[in-house]
Amino acid sequence: MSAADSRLLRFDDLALEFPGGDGPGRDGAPAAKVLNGVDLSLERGEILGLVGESGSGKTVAGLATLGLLDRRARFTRGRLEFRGENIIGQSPAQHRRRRGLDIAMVFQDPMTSLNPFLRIGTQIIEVLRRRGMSRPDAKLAGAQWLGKMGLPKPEAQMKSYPHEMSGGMRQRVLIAIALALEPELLIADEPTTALDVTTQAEILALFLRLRETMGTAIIFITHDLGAVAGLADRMAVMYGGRIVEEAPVETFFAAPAHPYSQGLMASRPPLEGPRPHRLKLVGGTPPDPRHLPAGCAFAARCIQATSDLSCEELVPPDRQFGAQHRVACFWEGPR
Amino acid sequence: MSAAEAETGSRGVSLRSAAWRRFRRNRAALSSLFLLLFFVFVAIISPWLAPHEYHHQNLALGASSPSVAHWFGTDYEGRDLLSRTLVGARISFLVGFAATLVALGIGVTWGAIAGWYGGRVDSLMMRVVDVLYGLPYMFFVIILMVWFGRSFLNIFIGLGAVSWLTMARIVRGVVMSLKEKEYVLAARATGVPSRRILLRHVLPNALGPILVYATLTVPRVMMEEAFLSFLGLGVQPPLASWGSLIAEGASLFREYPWLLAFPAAVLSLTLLALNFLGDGLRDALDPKTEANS
Repeated sequence: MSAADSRLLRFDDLALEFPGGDGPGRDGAPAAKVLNGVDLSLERGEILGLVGESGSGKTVAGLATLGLLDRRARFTRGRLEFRGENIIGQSPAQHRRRRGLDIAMVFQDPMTSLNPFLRIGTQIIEVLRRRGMSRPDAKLAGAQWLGKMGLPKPEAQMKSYPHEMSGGMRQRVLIAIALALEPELLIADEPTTALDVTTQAEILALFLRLRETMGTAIIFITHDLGAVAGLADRMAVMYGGRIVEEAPVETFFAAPAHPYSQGLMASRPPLEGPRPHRLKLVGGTPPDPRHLPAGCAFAARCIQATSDLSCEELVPPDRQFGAQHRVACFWEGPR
Repeated sequence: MSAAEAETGSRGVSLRSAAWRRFRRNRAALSSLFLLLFFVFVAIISPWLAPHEYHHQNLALGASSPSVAHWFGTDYEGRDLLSRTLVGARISFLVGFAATLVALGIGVTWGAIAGWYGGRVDSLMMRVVDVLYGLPYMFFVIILMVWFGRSFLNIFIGLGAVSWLTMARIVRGVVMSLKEKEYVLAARATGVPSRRILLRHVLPNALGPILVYATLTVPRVMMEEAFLSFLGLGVQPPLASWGSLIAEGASLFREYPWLLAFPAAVLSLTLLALNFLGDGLRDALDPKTEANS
């Protein structure tokens, strides 16, 4: 029981879909099954890297945690527990009370995530005042937060408008806003994708510092395996709305077990030696969530899939190997 | 960063000041603004400015052509046309602005609620607009006038009540597109209440289109007031609006052309200036015009 208690967030076989056929075309399309049994958990103060292709369900998982999904989203099974309490089916007001205070999210594009009409100060003060802080106090605290994020001249920056700032500065502002109420969980959805490499490194260092000083647990959603390696404690690979592999970062980088993970690792450009003429790719395209295959979602692209393993017919269950290493694959591998 | 910082300082160059900079470069719009400010100012102080009482009749004089005593001439009853045009300016501007305010009030609220909440609320609210849109709209105003009397108040209630429809549609569209913006999602993700997001984040960003359309509503309403007065449904003599002056002038156009020329000229100038102003605002408030300006 104590193990369950230390968990901050737990996805338990969570599945959700967006009904089809009621779009503008009204073409009777089947529902888009975006999450198909996600099992994942996060300890307090832990940093989890969540990687996967576009459309694999990473962002939807994040938005579900905040209760920010489109109202058409339908949960078909499973639970999503925050501090041991199932938050699926809670009222919008219950979700809203948690946002900012308990869970916050930082989005991919810092250029569009700030309101262009309002000063930076106004936007951070607005959030701080949710705790009932007085306006002068909130102003002070806001500037402090900007300073903590490493922005120069924070008092002056409070008066700036977003378009006067660079992308890196804006991302710091957004992180400051997200953390202003000291949530226990921060979901960072590709927070460095739109930034240049130097700024990326600074933002990643910032995340590490935050975890040290505030004990914030972070789900770091990204495409960037390199970023995960430097930042996360544990990582999970998502494919077709499922976690296909989950392991501590060192274990994963030393020996990825799922063919998809191996493909991802192989597709990185080598840091040393001659540059290959072409990078290796994971062939094929991600599955359409409206027409998921009966078996493993990755089977069509998998170089290990065989009929012996019945990859095309059966959904591979999670297999545990090693203490914290789990893979959803039939293939026993070369190990 | 440092270069940009040095250039803008830490004052914060708002979108507003950027828009004002663009607006200033547009000569036609800028001179229209000054002309309108001048007209409005004159209309406000007209009671002290008018050389004669607008309703003072001098039947002995009759209709006289422009002279030193009567710059715009006099009408059939010997009333000073300049004074009547000045009092008409007050009426026309009042109707124009008041009806636009009504349109703004109802239209923005209606459109914002429909666009923000979407779904069934939206369909229901917009069907109401569609139905009202379907009514022949001058006819609707005329019926209002006939039912509730031809009082001054009813003119702009009537005009306002029908001109909010387009405003509601415009605002709904803008709100619907703004609510998909990332900063709205980001605000929601930090737990900002929905109503506050609408009021503080969405509507200010919709200000551009709202302002532009309001500027274009004023001349339209003024023209409609002129039309109503022309039909004899607007302001009643001896009070005058530009529309009623034009109506009188038009009937005596052959004999006393100045009776039509002066009121028609000021009305046309005003309408033109308002349209230029609206166009200028639209260009200035649309950041996309920055590239080619």
